[in-house]
Amino acid sequence: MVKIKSILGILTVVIALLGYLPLQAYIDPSARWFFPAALAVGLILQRKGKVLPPRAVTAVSVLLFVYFAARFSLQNLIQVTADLLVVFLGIRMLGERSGRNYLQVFALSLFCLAASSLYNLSALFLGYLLLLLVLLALSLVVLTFHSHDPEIALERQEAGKALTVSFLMPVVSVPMLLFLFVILPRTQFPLWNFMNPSAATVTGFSESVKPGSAASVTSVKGTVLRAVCRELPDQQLYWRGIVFNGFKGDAWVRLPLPAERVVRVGEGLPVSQEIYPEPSRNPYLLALNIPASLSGVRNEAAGDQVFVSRTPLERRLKYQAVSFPYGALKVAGGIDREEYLGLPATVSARVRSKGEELARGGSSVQKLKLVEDFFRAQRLTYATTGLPVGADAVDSFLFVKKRGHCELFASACATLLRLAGVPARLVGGYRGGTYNAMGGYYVVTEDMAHVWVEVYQEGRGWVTVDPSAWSSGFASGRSAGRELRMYFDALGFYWNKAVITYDLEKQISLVRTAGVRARDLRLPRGVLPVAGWWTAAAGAVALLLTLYLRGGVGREARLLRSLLRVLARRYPDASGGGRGLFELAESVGDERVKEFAALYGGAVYGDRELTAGELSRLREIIREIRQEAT
Amino acid sequence: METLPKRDEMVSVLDTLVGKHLQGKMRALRLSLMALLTGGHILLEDIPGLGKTTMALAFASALGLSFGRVQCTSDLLPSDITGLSIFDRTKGEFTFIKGPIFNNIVLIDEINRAMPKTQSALLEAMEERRVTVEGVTYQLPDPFLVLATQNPVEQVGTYPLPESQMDRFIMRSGIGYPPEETEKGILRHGSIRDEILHIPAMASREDLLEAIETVRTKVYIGEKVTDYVYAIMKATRNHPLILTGISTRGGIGLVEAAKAAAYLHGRAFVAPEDVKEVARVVCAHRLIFRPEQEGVDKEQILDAILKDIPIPLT
Repeated sequence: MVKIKSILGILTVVIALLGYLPLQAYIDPSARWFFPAALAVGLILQRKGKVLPPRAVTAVSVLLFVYFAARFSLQNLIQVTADLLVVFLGIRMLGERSGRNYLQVFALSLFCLAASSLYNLSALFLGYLLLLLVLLALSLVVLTFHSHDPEIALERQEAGKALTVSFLMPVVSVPMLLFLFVILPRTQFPLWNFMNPSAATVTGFSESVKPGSAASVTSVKGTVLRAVCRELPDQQLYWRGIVFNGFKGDAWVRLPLPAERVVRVGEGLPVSQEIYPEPSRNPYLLALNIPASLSGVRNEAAGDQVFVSRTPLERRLKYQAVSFPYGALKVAGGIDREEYLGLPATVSARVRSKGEELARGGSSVQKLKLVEDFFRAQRLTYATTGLPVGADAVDSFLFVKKRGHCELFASACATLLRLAGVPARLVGGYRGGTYNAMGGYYVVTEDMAHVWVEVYQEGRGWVTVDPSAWSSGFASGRSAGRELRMYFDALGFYWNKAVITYDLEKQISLVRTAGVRARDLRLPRGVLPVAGWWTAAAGAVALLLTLYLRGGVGREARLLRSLLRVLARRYPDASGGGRGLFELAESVGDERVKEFAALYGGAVYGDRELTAGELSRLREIIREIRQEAT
Repeated sequence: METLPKRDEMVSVLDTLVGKHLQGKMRALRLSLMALLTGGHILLEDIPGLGKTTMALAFASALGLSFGRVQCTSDLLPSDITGLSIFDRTKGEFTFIKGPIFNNIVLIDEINRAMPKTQSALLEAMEERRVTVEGVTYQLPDPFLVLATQNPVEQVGTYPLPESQMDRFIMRSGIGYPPEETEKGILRHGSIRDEILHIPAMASREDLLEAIETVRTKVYIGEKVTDYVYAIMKATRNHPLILTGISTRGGIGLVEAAKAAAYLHGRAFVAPEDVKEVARVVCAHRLIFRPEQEGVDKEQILDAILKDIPIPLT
């Protein structure tokens, strides 16, 4: 018979130790010594059948709480919490054992283990955690027995069965766990939404810029991408996506132009980014202006440093980019100027004459300056409502309404420059970004979609110019509640980063690194022999206990089992379940089996131990029959 | 292994009897000997003419014991069994003439034909092992075995033994038809009744007393077998078809019979198989079934119960 109470007692001690051990190196010495002392006293009291009065336990816990809580300050928040957790665990081990107290021990152990992760998070933690979880499942099952009847005792066999089943529960739940926590979150689309794949949205920038197509622009706040990089000045935050170099009627579009050979991209310090775009149906890969190289996803780079992904961006992925925020895009051997001087179908007389006026301005740098002066003189306002519409939107924007959004600013600027004989093109992308200091990344949202201009200057190359900056009222506002939103955004970002875009390669390299680290693992000098002695001693004690508990009974059972096994081989017909040994001997008709039965029965049914002589004779009989059988 | 005194003699008596004179009666003879060794009595329940009397006679003479026989009828008086005092004219006093019960082995034929008064007198004598007639108590001889027979078929004009009195018999068994070959041989050679009267004694009364003493004191019953016996008793008590299971006296009988069986097997300890061997004959007649289950065969139910209880092996 096995007492449930004693099983539960052992499990609880082991669980409490699992909570204490990982934390003990980091806590206050008083707490470190209190726990083992409390555990020992609790065990002694339990053995003697005594229970500390609950009032005394409460008084002790209040005193200790006051003692430890007195040191509380913001600097040692974690320290005090850890101390208190261990002390309470000790008090629980000291006090009376009831169902509620057991549960408290379990919870406190988990908290202690969790607290230890604040100090040190190694692979050992995972071991502790797994062991603790399995033991907790086991203990909870045992606890239900206990709560049913604290004095309940099970047959050895029954207890074994119950423990095995409850041990299997956490083990069996592993596949489910894997499914819930590893496979499900990695699916790219919601499972219940697979029939509707258009979950991805078209980003705020489009593949054509047609000024005057809408009277107002409504901005959506959806996230476009997150880019991990260092914090940059606001005026450098241009996320370059697409280049519009020609016209289709009045609309700026991207035409396939003869390849230009980029000699150098920008100047100064490069900024490398790791970019996590949100799923989109747009193939253009965004990167900080001016991108020099882009890797991590299969892509095609055009001569104007526009990167088009070859894999659909409708799934979550990530890529790396290196950009130079300063300088220009230098092209070897110049450009095809004619291509960059094309004009839209409709150009009003006022615009044309303004352009011709600018054409007399001298060098391209001077012309650009003239355009800027003109824009500023016109007192153009940046707005997203009340925009000029129609084919002559640029004219209306420059001379009548004098308000517009980035598309109007950029196309008006580029058109004027082209009229003035300066090669210019439009660049579509995003401007700005909210830096999440917690995660160390920028969040770019749809409402930051922007169009600006690149002007070709002889000797320098393509220079970035943002005409919208010449307006009044163009600034990026910051919304309230930013901190909290950033916090949640960081959570979501880490989820995507750690779970969804987590790749196998990274996992393998992690394991490899862990292997290398494990090889270099060194225990402090002197720990190994001591630990070895303790392990050996504990093993010996466990062995002796097992022998003591199982004693002679096990020996006889083993003998009988091996006899039955060899009999089943020697006399396959005779061995039948539910028969006594003498019956079996009779039916087999083997004198040796009869002798075995007589010797064995004499001891077992005569309530005495087998003598050494009998034992050796029994073994000999088994050996003889086994030899015959083979 | 220590040898049990007189065990070999007892077994050889059985073997000789079965081999020479009483073919096919091994089981009944063995049970009778076991009953004798435990100091109990046996009830043979079978149709007439299967050799019960022959067997009893042969058994008695082979063991060198005295034999008495009572044929029961409805007007048999207790004094016909116990004996009575008769006035002796020459001496001028009453002398006690011993009845047939004053023998080592007493065959009570068709006990259910006797009237209850006679039955109870007989059963009292079996239990007390003494007879009191007219104020004087006479000790019955030792060893003492009553072999009662009962005809299960013919029930007209009988007084069936109540369950409480059945309990007095340590065993109840059938005798069964002899095997085919044996029966043919019997047919060819005729009855052997005369021959049996001249069977020489193969053991003495002293041998038997020693054997009885050995069974009582030398055969050990261990904890595990006691548990097994108790499990059987408990199972009969909890069985849904059974109204009254095995009583404590029944349990004692089971243990004693098992001891005798172990003795005959030459073991100084009782094995569960010994219990199993005698359980049917010792227990079946003690079970009282619920009224609606009267017709069920008691031995079959007992077999089923025995099958369900695992034999203790370790």
